[in-house]
Amino acid sequence: MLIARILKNDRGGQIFLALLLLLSVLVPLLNLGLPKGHALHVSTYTLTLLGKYLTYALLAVSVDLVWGFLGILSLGHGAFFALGGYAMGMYLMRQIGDRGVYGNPDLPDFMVFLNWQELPWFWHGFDMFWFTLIMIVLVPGVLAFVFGWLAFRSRVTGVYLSIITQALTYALMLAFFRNEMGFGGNNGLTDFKDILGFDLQSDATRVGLFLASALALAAGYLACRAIINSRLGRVAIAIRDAEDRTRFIGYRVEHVKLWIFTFSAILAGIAGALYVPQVGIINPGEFSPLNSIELVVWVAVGGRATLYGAVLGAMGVNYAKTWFTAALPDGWLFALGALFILVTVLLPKGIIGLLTRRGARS
Amino acid sequence: MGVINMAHGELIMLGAYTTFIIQQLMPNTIALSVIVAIPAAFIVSGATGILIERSIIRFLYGRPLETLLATFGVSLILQQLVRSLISPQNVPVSNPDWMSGSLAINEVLSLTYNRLYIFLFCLIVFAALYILLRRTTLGLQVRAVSQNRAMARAMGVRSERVDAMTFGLGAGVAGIAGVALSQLTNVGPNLGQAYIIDSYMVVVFGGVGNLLGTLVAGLSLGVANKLIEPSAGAVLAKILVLVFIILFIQKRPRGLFPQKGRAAEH
Repeated sequence: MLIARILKNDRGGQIFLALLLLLSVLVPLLNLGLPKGHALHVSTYTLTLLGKYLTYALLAVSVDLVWGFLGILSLGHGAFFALGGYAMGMYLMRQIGDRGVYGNPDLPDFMVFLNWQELPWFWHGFDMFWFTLIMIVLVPGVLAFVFGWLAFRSRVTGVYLSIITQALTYALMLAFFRNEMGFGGNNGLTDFKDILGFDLQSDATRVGLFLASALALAAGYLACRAIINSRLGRVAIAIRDAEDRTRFIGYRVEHVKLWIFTFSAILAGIAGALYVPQVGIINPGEFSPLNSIELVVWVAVGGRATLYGAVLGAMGVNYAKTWFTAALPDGWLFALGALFILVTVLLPKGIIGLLTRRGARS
Repeated sequence: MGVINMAHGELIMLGAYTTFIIQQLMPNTIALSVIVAIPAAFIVSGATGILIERSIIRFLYGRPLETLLATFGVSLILQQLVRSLISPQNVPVSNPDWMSGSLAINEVLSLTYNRLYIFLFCLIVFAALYILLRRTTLGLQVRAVSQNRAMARAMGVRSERVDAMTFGLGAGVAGIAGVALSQLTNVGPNLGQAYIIDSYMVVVFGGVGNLLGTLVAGLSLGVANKLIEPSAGAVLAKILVLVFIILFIQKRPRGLFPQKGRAAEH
């Protein structure tokens, strides 16, 4: 079996995929099968929250692929996530049709509000789902390809690359805040009604989105693991550890970097596209540099260069965030800041590193 | 020093808040307060910088990406600290009399005094920093350590102390910048974040480890931004400048004035 071959020698991955399978069977069953009020009933709120975490986990896996195995610290992956999200948001916007506040069948509400007469050219096609799917892959992919081609060709590396990626997401954030761009300005896209004809508010659709996220995470994980196991992955690790030597041996370092970076951006875009229907809104805040840096910390907390560590980190940090913002709203930034410092100074290999070290000692 | 400090914007913010606190302490002598605030901000930000260096950054030398993340954590903590201790809202900082008003050259052109003073002030700080790095023993040691740490240590430079001093100096200058900024813009917890990306763009554009490059880059980027602004709007101007820098890096990956020699390899 293909999956068995990919996961050979990857015990963490086997455990993770088994847990993910268990989660994606158990949670929908407990949500749909049991009546409300039952002790084991999983509320739709929890289900959607878990679905959201799964998309974050996919995003974290995509960051771990470039950071952990290629040594590129991208502080702009949130941009690809948000672009995928916007593509999906545009489709959902078009699905509203004439049920918006202004009841205009041709234009989304915010365009009517801005007195626009017709749909801008880049909105055409987003009423078709297949076109949207292509765009979800294409838009982040092409941006990453062009950006990566420019950056890697001229050998922008290390912290300079990090800062440039941060500038990229910052520039996009400023651009999307503009009403003239035609993406809803600072309100973003929201008020979604249904996806593929299914009501977004119904429990069954939520379960469907949850399962889609779990499936995407599993597929994304396997794809990343397959890349790492391949020859390309070995060259990537060589680049991470000694870029100049790899270049001198004769590998085209910039090509390897470019393809893996682009693939990772596409994964991030898919995660964003699954994220939007579950939270019901996408706005330019998703582009903010803070988001992109935060997701790097998920990976750092879980453990770099393990992939499953990224999943663990994304889930753990976001659970803590949900808990903190409810219980101690002021404390969250302190906790996050302390996490940044503690992980980098004391736990360079993250939680997974801590666990495996314990395991090796006993 | 080869350290990217993401908390630098927050050190600027601390300088601005120091101005605010000093004005609260001496409400009757606003005219003097700004003068007092300059050394105070230097000390507050400088001490914070040394604290950050001693407690966090020194464990991370040689790991620039981790340094970036850890200092970002520091910046989050400092922001939230200001929010919790002082206020999440902007605080009012008043301009002293001798800095308000404007110098009318003719009917169309008039320059506000506070901007003129700040312009002069920046030139003075720049000159002082230049002299410090080029003409003093400390400056010599700083440059020696940044170019070749092992060799500098072998020659008897106490590199750890130099690290702390350099970092404190950089932080102190950021604090002074905060005093100047408090006269121009709103002082709030997000003050630093707004400037951090701009300031790194300036450094990337000008070339790292080069004061003159930074000055040229800072001035030219600022002027370019303002020149595009009337025709394209403030936000679009900023985006254009960012795109320009991304393209510029293609031609000159190490900035306008790259470092030469062995130091350039790191």
